[in-house]
Amino acid sequence: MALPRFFAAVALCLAVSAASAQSNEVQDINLQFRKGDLAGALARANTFLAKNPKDAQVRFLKGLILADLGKTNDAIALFTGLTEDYPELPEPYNNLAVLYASQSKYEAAKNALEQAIRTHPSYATAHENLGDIYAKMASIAYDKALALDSKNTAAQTKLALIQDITGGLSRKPAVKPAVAAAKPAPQPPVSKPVAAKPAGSIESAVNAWAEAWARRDVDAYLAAYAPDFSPSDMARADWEALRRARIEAPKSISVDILNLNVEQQGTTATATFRQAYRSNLLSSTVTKTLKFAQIDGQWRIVDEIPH
Amino acid sequence: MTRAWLAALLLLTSAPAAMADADRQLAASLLAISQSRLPEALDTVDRLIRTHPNFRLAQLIKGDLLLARAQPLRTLGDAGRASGELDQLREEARQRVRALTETLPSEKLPAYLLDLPDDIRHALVVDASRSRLYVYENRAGLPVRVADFYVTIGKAGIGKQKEGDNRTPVGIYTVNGYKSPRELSDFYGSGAWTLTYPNEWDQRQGRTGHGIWIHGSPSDTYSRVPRASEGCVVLANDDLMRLGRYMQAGKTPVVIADSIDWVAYEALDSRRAELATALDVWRTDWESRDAGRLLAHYSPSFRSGRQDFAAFAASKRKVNAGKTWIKVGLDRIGLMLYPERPDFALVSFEQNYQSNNLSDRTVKRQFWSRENGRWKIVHETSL
Repeated sequence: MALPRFFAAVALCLAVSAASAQSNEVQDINLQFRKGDLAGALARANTFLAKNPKDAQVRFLKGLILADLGKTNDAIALFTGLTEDYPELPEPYNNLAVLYASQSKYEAAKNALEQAIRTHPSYATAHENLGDIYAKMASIAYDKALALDSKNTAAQTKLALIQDITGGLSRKPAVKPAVAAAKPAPQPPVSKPVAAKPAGSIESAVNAWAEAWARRDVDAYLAAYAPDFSPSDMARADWEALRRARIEAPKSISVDILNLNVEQQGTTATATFRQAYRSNLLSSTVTKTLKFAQIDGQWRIVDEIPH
Repeated sequence: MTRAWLAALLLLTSAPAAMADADRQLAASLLAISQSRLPEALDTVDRLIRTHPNFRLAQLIKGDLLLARAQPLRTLGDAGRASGELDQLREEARQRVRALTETLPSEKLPAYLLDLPDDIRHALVVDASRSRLYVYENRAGLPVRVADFYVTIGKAGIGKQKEGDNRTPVGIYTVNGYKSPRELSDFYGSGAWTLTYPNEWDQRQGRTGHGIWIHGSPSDTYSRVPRASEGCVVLANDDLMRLGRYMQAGKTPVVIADSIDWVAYEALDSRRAELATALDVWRTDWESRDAGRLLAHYSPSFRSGRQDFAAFAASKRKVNAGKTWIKVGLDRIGLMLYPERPDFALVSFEQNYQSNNLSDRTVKRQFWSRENGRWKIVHETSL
C-alpha cells in the first residue's frame, strides 16, 4: 500500500516537549523528514531519543520515518510502544492500524482503530479509517463468498498515516498532499478558438494516444497523459503499473476511434468518441471522454471518463 | 484487482445490449463491493431495488452494505437470517458474477450445433453448471451467440429419469408451443414455452414425466435461486420476454447440458464433415439398392416404432428387390451432437424419395451413434 506522506505542523497543544531548545530540535527533525532526508532525520531522532527516551513527539516522528523507509515492522513496534506508554493518545493507534492494513492484517487494524475511538469517540480520522477497513473486510468476505480472486486488492485501501499528535483534537481527517492533479482552470463560458492551435491537433492527439496503445508502446501511451494525471481511486504509480500490465499482457491490440467529437475551449479541450478495443484476450466497445489541456505546447490528457 | 474483474468492468461499461439492466446493476454492485467502494455499491443496489423490489439477492446485498457500516462483514448474506435458502442465494450471486467474470472464449462454440437448416433462426443451449442459457443465432449454419440469461433448473439438478424427480432433462428438445400468462397461474410469471420432453430417445430409455417448460417467475420474486424448479428452466420475467423474440414454436431447438463442451470452430467443422459424410454415404448406399450396403449403416440395436433391426432388415431386403431405381434427396438437414454423449447425434432432414414404383416426402429424425468408430443409425422416426 502506498502511504502518502504530507507535512503537518507539529502540534503545540501537547506539552510533551517542554524546553524550547528541544522544541526547536523537534522542528528541525521534522523539517529534515519533510525534505525527504529520511536517513538524516532518523539519525537525529535517534540521537535525541538517546537523551529523551520518553519523548512522545520524536518517537512518533521516528515511527513516521520508519514507515517511510519501508521498515513497517519496526514502525509497528514503535507505535505499539507509544500506545502502551500513552494509551490516551489516539494517533498512535490510528497509525498502527494504517500499518497493519498495509500488511493486510485487517482484524488487527480494526482493533487498533477501535482503541483509538475508545480513547476519543469523536476522532473523525479513526472513524473514517474504520469505515475503510470495514469496506475492505466486506470486499474480502464477498470475494471469498463469490469465489473470486482477491489478492492484490490491498492497494485499494486508502488509509493515510496521521502525521502529528494533537491528542485527537483535530477534527479534520488526514489531508492528501498538495501534489494532487492540477485540473485545468475553469474556462469562461465564451472563449475564442486559439488560432495557433487548430482543432485538428486534438484529433491527432487522440489518434496518437490510440496508436501508442495499439502498438503496445507503454511509454508513448503514458506520455499522452499530463504528468499530474491520476485516476480518482488510485495513485499515479499504481495506475501506471496497472496500465503497463494491461497493455503488455495481450499479444495484439487494436483500438479504433469512431464518431470523434471535439470541443475546444482555449487551452483545454474535450474529445468524446466510441472506442472499439480488441485484443486477443478481450473485446469491448465503450463511449469515452478524454479531457485535454495544453502543457508545454502539447495536448495532454488530464482526465479520462468512461461513460 | 484481478484481470477477471477488470474484464468484467470493461464489459459493464460497454453494456452488452442483451444483458438485462437488473443483471448488470447487480453485477456492478458486487463489483463495487469487491473493490471496497461501498457507497457506490449501495447506490447501485438501491436503484436496482427501486425498479425490482422483489429481487431478493439485491435486498440481501443491501442488508450487508448497511451492516458493513457498523461492523466487519463475514460473508455474503451476513445480514440475512441463517437458512438453507441463504446458501442458494449465495450460489445465485456466484453464478451471476461468473457469467461476467468468466468470459467465454469467443473463438469457441458449444459442441452441439453442427448444422442447422436455414429456417431455424436461433438455438438455445442451457449450461446447468453455470445456471446460464445461451442464445445462438443461425448465420448460414454457423452459430453466433447473441444473448445469455441467468436460469434456474430443477431442485434435484440435472438428468431427469422419472416423473416427480425434480430434475431437468439432459438432451435436445424443440420448443413446441407458448402459453400466455392468461392461461397460467402466477407461478409461471410472464409466460411459458413448452418443450418436447420426453423425446423419442427419452421414451426408449424409459424416461417419464412431462410439462418441462421454459417459463417466468412468480410475482413475489424477481428471480429464483439456481436450483428450485421441478425440472423446468426458469427465467426472470423480463428475461423471458427478451427470450421470446428468439423463439419459433415448432422449430427452435433447445440443448440442455450439464456442462457445455466448448470446442473450437475447426473441431466443429471436422465433426460436422464427419457426420454429414456418414449421412451422405447412407443416402447413396440406399440409392445403390444393395440392401447389404444400406443395412451396414444401422446398429443392431436399431429401432423404428415397433420395428427392430431384424424386422427392418427383412422389409428393406424385400422392398429393394422390387426396385429398378431409387433416388433419395435430403433437404433442410440438421446435425446436432447430443449433450453429455460425444458419440451420439440427432440428425433431422426432409427426405425426397423417388423410385420406379413409389415417391414420397417425409420429415425424419434419426439418432446416430458412433459404434466401433463408425456412425450408425440407432433410432428413426418419420414425422
